[in-house]
Amino acid sequence: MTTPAASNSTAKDAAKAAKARLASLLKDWGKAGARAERAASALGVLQAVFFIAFAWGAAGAVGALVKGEAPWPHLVLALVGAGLRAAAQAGETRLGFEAGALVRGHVRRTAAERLALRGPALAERTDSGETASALIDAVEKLDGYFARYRPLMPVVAAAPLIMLAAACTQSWVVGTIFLVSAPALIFFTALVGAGAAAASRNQLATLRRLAGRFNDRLQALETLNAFNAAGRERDGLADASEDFRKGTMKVLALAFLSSAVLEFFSALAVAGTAIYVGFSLLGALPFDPGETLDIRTGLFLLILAPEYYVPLRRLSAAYHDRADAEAGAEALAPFFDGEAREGTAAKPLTAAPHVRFIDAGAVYADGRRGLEGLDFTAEAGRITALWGASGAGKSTALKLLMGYAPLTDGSIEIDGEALTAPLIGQAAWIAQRSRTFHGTLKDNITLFDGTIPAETIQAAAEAAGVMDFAASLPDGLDTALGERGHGVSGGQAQRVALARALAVDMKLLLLDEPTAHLDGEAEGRFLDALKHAAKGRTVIIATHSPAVRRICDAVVEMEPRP
Amino acid sequence: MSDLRFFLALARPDRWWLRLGAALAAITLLSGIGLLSLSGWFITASAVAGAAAAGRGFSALSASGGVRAFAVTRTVGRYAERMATHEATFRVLARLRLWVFDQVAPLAPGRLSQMRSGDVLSRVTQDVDALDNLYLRVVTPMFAAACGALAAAVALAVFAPAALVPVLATFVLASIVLPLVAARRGAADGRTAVQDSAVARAEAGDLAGGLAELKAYGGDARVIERLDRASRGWIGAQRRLARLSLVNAALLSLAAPATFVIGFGSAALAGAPAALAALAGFIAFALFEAAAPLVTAAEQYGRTLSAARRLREMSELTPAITEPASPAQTPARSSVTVSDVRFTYPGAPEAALNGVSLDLPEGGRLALVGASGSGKSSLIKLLMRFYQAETGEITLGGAPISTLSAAGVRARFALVDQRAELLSTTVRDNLRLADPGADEDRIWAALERARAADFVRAMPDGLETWIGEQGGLVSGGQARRIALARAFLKGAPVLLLDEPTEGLDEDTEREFLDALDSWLDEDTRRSVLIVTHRAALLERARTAVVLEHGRVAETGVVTELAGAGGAFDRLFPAFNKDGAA
Repeated sequence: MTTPAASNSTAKDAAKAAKARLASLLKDWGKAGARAERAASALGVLQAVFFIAFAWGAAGAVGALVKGEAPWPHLVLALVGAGLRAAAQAGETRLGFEAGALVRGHVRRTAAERLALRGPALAERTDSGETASALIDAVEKLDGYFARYRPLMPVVAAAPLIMLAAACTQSWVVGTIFLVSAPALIFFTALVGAGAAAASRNQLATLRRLAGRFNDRLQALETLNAFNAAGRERDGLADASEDFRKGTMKVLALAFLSSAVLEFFSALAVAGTAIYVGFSLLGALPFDPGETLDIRTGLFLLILAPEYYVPLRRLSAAYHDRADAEAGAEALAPFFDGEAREGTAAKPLTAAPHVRFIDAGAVYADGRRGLEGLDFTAEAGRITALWGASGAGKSTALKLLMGYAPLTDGSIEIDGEALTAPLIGQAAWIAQRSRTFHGTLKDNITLFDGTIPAETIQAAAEAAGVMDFAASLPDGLDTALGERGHGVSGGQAQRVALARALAVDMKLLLLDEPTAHLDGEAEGRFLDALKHAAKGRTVIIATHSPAVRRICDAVVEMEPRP
Repeated sequence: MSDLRFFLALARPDRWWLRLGAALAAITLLSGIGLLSLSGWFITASAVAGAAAAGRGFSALSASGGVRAFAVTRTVGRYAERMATHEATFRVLARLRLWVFDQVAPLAPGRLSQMRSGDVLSRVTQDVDALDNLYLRVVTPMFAAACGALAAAVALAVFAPAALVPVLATFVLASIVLPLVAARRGAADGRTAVQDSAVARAEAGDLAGGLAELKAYGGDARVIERLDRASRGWIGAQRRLARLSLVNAALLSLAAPATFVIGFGSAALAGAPAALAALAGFIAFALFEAAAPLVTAAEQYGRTLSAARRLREMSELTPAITEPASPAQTPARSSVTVSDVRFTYPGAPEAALNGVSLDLPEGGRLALVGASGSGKSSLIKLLMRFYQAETGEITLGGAPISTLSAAGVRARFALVDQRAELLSTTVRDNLRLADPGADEDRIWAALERARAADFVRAMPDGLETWIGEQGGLVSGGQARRIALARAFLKGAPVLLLDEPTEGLDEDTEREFLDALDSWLDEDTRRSVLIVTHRAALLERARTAVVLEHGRVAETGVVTELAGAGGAFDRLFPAFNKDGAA
């Protein structure tokens, strides 16, 4: 038993470690867009230089007019400075986008590869929809951080210094106003902001939850109507919105103070500069600063003053980009946890194999035991059933052959040789519910392998009973399936999965409760096709269906584990 | 435009908040313009006055006082503006959501499923978010910018009339015309981006959901390639969109200093004194603070407009069933008869039910079986008043259900469908959906009965455990049992079960059926209709109706149907031999 204090500190350490892990992931990913990021930063800093040129030209024009000279050369300088600054800004944004795009492309691809290497265990632990959404939405969340926040950091450090230096060359008093206001501003912003930032993050989470609740209830309207509960849920939503508004406004009252501080200092610097310069020009200052300003210097400082704070303002606007990226990295972290190595390839199976399990057992990475002491032999060219109630470890036994579950005890022999590498690419896998992939019926049979000849596909489709329904589809085997295409029934999907195994002539077929979701008629049709397909192949079926049992040559009874 | 006005009218009860926010936004902008232009004028005028030896009515003190005052009103104004606009936004958003909920609720599910409900509902929520922008990012900045432009125009007209037209023309061009043109050009790329993202999402779904199958065939590498290609296409569309807003931003950043030059130059050309020319230049320069939000407004405008149109169209849809104007009293008895019912889903080529008749008397136990697509679930949807039969009649306690209120009919049926949909809230609130007043004891009794009490007790917070999105934190079998407990808690006399034991193992299935038996035995008036393809469930039913292609193929007592060589035997060839297994 740990004391509460000890467990508290370990929880804190764990949170710290998790945070460090996210930071190192983000740093790693940033390398993909590092060059674009540095170039964007450089252009960001250059904008300060160009703005100084503009301010100098604009102030010079007014000064010239006051002195009765022609303002035009100065106005040309002002326009050139403004033009260059706009161009640099465009370049900065563009390169920032590229930095974000490079990182997103890299992370999406790497995460997908890691997912594939880690195998279905990772996708199974969470909902597969959630895994897919991590590849899409979590990766998108990284964008702001890499496209805006990171390129901005050097700009925030350098640009104000450059403008400060420019101001100091003209007036030490105004330079001092700038110099003093920046740290004070950062200090006050941090003071007000630290508490407010945490509170506003919580509030943001509440807002998401509220939006989530609204979406959830809209999606569940059928159920709500079935219980005559739509009205009650509506009232619940109204109350939650009201509570949220009150809570949030309290937090925002504080959070907005930090931006008010920014606003206040930037306004104060403009006003202070204007008053100092004005009184100095009038010769009405209450003290002697030891410097004399002319109209050009005065206006130059005035134009410069608001711009001095722009990088800080941009940073505070980009602040949530970082929080977003951290949330994204958190969703993606499981993909990058642990070592993932490319396994060695299994010896190709050229004829129906003889499979023997010797006292085989499996304990998953999270400590769950999936299988214990399984002994059986699946004879070459025969159909063997693994028979038992759910929880007996039937699926785990099949997964061992593919490396989808780890073999932690005992051994497995293929044709008398110990299995050292999973049978990836050597055995067909047919799941309880075969997935319909986003593509044509043909793509679903070949799994996007363009090298399989058309005759082979046709023959496999016929042998598996796919043609029974494909013939009546609008484009036959070229009919698009999936979300926005044609739907197939559960029984049809299982037959497509069987055709897949035949198209690449797999010698070992592994089927995991293939008929669990089919009605009697569909099951019968699938089993007919399977009986034909099994000729010259070794078939192992995990099942508890009596109809499946009847087509098997051998049955292995598996007891539920205690 | 009328669609936008409609939604602004919806926000009418909060109009004072909206007006206050917009007014404060205008005050903040005007203070900014005042601060910079007064400062510029003050410095220039000081230089002139200083050169000409101070005096001649030039009031340095009042000018510096004005500068300080503007600095304060700007800061305070900004703070107050943000508070007011956020208060208004939250109020309007809540109102908008409830309005949408009220419009959509009667359409579910009959009218919605006709339009791919998943699509429609996620679009609705996106549209609500888009309309949220209407006030904060479209109306308020437009109002503030209009005020700023008007004030600038008045000031220029008084002090430097020559600069008036060039400055305002540049402002309108850079902050309104160009962004609108860009937004129009970006619309096509926006659509491409949406399509590309959907393709990428589908590929990612295939990879995550079909990994076991893909890896077996080495297809994972090929799907990763496809995902990568889709992702790059999507990023390409985003790049084209970004290029447009980039051009906008660059033009804008050029326009502010350029307008300074234009304002100052045109005033100087017309012979204005230096201080007033500087004033014109600074007014123009400061006015551009209002431009950046206008660019955003233009980018949002098209999206907001189409969101408003879609939501309004949805509000004008009529529900799939027509409620009687004055519903009859719901009868006391709960026997159900279906006679010669025909029903076709809207837009479907064939009828889902074609002359179906059946009886479910009080105390009845009826199994409804048939291949998928034979019309079993459709019949349940008609009973629940989600849809309306075209011809034929369904009665409840002797009264045609079309003469009763939908709520009255639904109160008699407790439905557990295949999806066993749970709300994203606590276990307790999910159960209370069936009976908002249910106390602890009744909730646990229902959970016990549905064989769900053990795992709920083992959850981290028991009844208070939050079950995530679509019941994500519980397994499929657990979700089904919670849904069953919810149905028991409702206490309706007729249970409608659509594949209730799918996803349960055989032991749990048996326990569940025992619980169902005991529930039915408690009150001889209770009845159940089970849609199933599992033999174990058939044993508990007394009668069965076999549907084939929307017609009744066979009907009778289960024990007599088995072995009779008809449609029932085709579905359950093993019923006699293995039924008890």
